[in-house]
Amino acid sequence: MNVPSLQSHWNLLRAACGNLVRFLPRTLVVLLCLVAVIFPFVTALTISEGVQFQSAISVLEGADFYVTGNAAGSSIPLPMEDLERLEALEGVARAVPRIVGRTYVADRVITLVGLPVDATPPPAVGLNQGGPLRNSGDVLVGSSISKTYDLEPGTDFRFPIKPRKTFHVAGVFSSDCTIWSSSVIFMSIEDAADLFGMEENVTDFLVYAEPDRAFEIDMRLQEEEKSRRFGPLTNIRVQSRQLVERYLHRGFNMRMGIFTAFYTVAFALAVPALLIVSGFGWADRRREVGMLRVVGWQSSEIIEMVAWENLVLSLMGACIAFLASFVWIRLLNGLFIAQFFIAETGLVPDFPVPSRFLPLPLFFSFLLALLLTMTGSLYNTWRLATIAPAEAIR
Amino acid sequence: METRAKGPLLFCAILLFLSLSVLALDAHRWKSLSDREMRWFQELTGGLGMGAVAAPVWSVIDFDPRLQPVDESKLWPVPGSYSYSPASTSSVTRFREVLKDSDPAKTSKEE
Amino acid sequence: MISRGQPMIQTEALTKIFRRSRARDVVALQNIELSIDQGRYVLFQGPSGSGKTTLFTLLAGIAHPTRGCVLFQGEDLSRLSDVALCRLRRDRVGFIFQDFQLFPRLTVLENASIALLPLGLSRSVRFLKATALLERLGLEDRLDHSPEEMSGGERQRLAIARALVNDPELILADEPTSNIDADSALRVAALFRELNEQGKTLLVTGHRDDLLRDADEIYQLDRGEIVHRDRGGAG
Repeated sequence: MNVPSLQSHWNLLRAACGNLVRFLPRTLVVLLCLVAVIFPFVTALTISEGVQFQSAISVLEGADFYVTGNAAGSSIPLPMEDLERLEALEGVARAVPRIVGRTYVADRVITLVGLPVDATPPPAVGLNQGGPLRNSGDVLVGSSISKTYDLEPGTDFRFPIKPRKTFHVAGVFSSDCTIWSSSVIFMSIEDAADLFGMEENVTDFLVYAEPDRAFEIDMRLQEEEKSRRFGPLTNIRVQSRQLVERYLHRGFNMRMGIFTAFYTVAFALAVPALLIVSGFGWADRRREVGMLRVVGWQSSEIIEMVAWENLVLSLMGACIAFLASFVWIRLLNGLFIAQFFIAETGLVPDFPVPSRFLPLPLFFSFLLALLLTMTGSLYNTWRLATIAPAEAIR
Repeated sequence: METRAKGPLLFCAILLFLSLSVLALDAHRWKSLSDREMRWFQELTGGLGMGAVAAPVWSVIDFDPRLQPVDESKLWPVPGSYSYSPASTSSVTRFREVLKDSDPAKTSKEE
Repeated sequence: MISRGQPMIQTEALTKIFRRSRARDVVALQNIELSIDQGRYVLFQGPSGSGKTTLFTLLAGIAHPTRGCVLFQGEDLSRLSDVALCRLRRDRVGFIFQDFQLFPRLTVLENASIALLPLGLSRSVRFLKATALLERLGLEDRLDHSPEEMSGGERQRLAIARALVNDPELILADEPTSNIDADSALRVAALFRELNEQGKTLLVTGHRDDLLRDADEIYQLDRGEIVHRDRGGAG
């Protein structure tokens, strides 16, 4: 049995490339289909990597424990007096009360965060305009809010839920602070409590452990949680950093919702679409395959040539989709498409769309493209390459 | 059959080179990326935001499960408790409530 | 594998029926018995639909008979694997179609050398072999042209070049002179004569006088059967 030489494989590869040019309309249409299918896939993965990076920082720089009130399974505010109980736990370095809520600025939902002013970490590297909070009523606003409503440092404004209270813009967050900072207004906890009408209450406590004492505090907080279940004190829910990390890992591995459904449907449709598309010029192809058999080409050689065509097409398609994704996300900041991957973004994102281009998405794109093209053409080719040549050229 | 083979091969090589360049450039950019502003913001706010949602318009869990680990949209009066929240349908993240174990040692084993 | 003393090509009760789902089956060939020795020049004649083309496709191994068999130097083609059959067609059989069956998007040089591509020969070697053949057939000025830019006679010569590139022992030419001008037909007839003088076995269909003159044997086909056998001008 003759083992094909490297030269024969190289010849077949060159023949395959020549075919791609000879049947140019078909090549272009298949490429377009591949790019259309792979582009959202690559974009989703790269944005996911970028957001995951920011999320990891959010978890890392956050508290060791988050203590919220719990009623009927939902979070409720806790009384401020619980702060003393938490601070008194052995091993707790500090406990910080926090108010986090949603409200409107004009017609837009924003996240409002209130923390003790003395907890602000210096220096204020995340502000690109203005400075930190100094007086009551001072706020720091996200870049998107500042841009949309012209809220520059020194500007005064009011919230619809408390129109009598005036707030003063002290600084504006840099858009590099993470995607969440763009829609945030930060103020003192006293101002937040006044705004929401929840004096003496907070939405959660941030508990920071002394070094190497997190486990110990976890146990104590579990006991505290259990002890409150049937007592007069408000029930609490404790979320440790470990638990939060589980959210992180699971949340990024679950591509749920309509995006997944769309993608599955798109993938399923892509296969028959490619079957049809790869049938373009198939009458000519059928005759050619028949003639190749007449002059002595073996079925395996014909199939190898078509496989090379698919390989080259897949590589081109994957690379084009990858590069298109790069251009669209980095140079156009995800114009029009970022909203499909980061909710509440809008047509033109107000912040740099986070993204990270890694080798694995490129590789998977190539495999996906190869699967699609092979499914679309290899079976037809195999059929033609195995019937009698006279039938194929008829 | 091979006369015009150079074109696709060359095009492929250029695309591959550009793609690998993008990977290399991005890797370099990540190494030199300053996350100072990000860390400062997260320290300031005590950790805010985890999901691929810019603002908690629909449900809070997809924005940050630390704030509200319950998917409120499941409580909406919708048959089958299907979540119509765009935050759960159009992003690349999806947080679901994690059942917390009372034994931290067991929790850490599951990690 | 050459079995010395065996005829070049033989058929035993060769029958081909084309099955039609909505019409009556077509019996293209019926019990054809042939024995052609090596080096012979055999002409097949018959009206349109007599089964000449079908017979040639079966002899070349590019179609399968319904009944009977084709023996190529003693080897039953139906018992050969697909790989062996392909090798046979590549190395030992050259087929020239009535309608040329050229690759319209390939150049003359590529068309002529197409059979050599999977053999592991470099492009320069393949093109060298093909060029030599094309020069012999008077197509040296057309190497970079496509078949669409050529006359019928030139296309026929290109089809011949493609069939001869691997120096086959058996050449089947189906109506090689029917679609070309008289001058080109003369050239083709002369070429066939030359090939036969070199020891090639030639099976040709056609009605031209020069083909009749050069043939060793003439078979008349009608309605799928051999109705008459005669000696040719050279027989």
